Amino acid sequence: MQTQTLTHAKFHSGSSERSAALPDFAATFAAPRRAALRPIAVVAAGIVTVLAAVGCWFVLGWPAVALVCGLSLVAAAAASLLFRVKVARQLDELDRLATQLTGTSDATIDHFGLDGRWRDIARRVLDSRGGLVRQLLERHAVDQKLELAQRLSLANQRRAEAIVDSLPDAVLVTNSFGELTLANPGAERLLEFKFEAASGKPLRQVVRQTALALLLELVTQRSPCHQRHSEELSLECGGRPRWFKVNIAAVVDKSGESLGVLTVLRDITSEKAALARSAEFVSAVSHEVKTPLASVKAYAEMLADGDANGDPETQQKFLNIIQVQTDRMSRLLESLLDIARIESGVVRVEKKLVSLNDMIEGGAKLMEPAAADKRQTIERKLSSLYLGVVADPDMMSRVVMNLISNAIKYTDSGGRIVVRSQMIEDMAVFEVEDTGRGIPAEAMPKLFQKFYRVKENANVAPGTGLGLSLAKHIIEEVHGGKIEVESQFGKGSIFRVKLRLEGLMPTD
Amino acid sequence: MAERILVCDDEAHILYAVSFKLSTAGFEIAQANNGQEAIEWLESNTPDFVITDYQMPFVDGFELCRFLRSRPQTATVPIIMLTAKALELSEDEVKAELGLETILMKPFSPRGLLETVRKTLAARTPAAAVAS
Repeated sequence: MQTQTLTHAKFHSGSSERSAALPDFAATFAAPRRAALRPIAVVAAGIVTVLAAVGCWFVLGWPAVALVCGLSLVAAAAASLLFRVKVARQLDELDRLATQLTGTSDATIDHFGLDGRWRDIARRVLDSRGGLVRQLLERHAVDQKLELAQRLSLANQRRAEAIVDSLPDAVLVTNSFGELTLANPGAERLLEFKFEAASGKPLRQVVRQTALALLLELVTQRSPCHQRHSEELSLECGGRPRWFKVNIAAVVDKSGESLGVLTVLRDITSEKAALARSAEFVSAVSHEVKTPLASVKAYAEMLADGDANGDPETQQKFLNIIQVQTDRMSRLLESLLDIARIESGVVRVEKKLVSLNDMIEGGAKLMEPAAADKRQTIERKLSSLYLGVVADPDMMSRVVMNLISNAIKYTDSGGRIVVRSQMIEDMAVFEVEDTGRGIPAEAMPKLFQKFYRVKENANVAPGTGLGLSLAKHIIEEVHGGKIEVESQFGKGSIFRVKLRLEGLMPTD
Repeated sequence: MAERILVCDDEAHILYAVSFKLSTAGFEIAQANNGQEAIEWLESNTPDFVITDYQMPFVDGFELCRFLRSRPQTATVPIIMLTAKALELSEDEVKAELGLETILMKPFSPRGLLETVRKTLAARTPAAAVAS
């Protein structure tokens, strides 16, 4: 509307001169007028040809007449073709002008000085083509809107697909006939199929895991709408059983129409394993606590029942057992609390640069009385280098003392214990070597497990089976190091701790 | 003649407590530190009653019970199992499978144990008398 008004103003203000932007209307309309004169020329040429043919018949006979007629026909056809091409071009030009003129009024036609038939043609063209152009323009706008909407919907679809595809869970959608209509890469990996090959096939043919296929069929058949089902299922994946939480829900659109059934499988194997470990731990703790408690209860009850009356020696023995077992229980509970505190991160880890040699020396000094009780010597073979490590001093000395204490406990009286430190590549290495009982090969893999005690050595010394587990946690989880063991049953063991070397010079 | 009871436990204090209580009550006691020792003793002896721990090194209580049941001379000997384990299997299943008299959970009462032993033997004696 705005442009229309502006164009009008322009036309009326400069009546004699045409704006360069305006179409050369009169020139365009004049061309067909000239072209329209051509048929007259063609008719005249025809008459001339006929006369020439009659002349030739008199002079040269029939073959010449045929030749002249043929030539003239060719000429006429060429002229007609030329005319048509010209007219077509002019009509195209008219079309273009009409498009430009869309929305202009009769005044514009007057302005161009058109008259008679051309004025009528121009008006008709304006009316009909203008309407068409308007329709085309409207159509174009609609198309643009549609395209935009399509692009948006495609983008949304891609986004939804990307979200479903990047889910770690396996996602499957089946239609009401039980045929697969969607599967994300998670599902393809888990159920070992390709969606392209499986699309539209009945689920039972695609899913080789019979248990899952049966479950899906059962739930789908029972009631396809408003259905929610959740179940834990064990499936064979890559030859190993894994646990899955299977969630099945009906897919229903806003109008309540069923679009099929959505199945999501989440791998809960590690959660299951964690739960099992935790149950195992609780069971082990309960066993370890109940055993000394059983002694305490048994001897206390017998004392109360007067079973040892009249025998002060037996009474004293019973009381001693109660004391020893109570100590054992509190030691166990202390260790348990230590583990819980350190593993749960309640204890603040305060790491700083410390000298490994100082840590070893400190631990060895504290353990010396225990070694002396068994007439053992703790021999130091410490590196002459500084060997700086970044560690929590309390935790690290706990490990040093635990390893030396184990060496003392499982080495017979008069045995030899060596503590050693050295630099190996970029690691500071600390070893405790003993000439003790050693560890049988079959016990090695379980050595660092909680509550594990080497059967053969369990009666040699009291223990909770928690010390090495805690040491491993402190070295590997808290300090990022490594704890290893080498042993020969009956000969002795070497426990080795490797920590990253942080400095060779003390910093103060 | 006093009945002979085989007591089997890897915990020395429990072994001693059970043995003390039962021997004070007049029973003859044979001690074993684990299932292996018990089986060795059983090669040349037949007990009237067996009290065993469940979790023991080398040969555990389950294996010992199966061994007892597999031999004609101990196929019906009453067994009490003492355990600190929350059993993986249900108590009833284990009792039925191994033909156990009862399962006593640690910590247990030596007085209660003695009563169970006496009751079980008393219930068996008339039946045995009728049979002979």
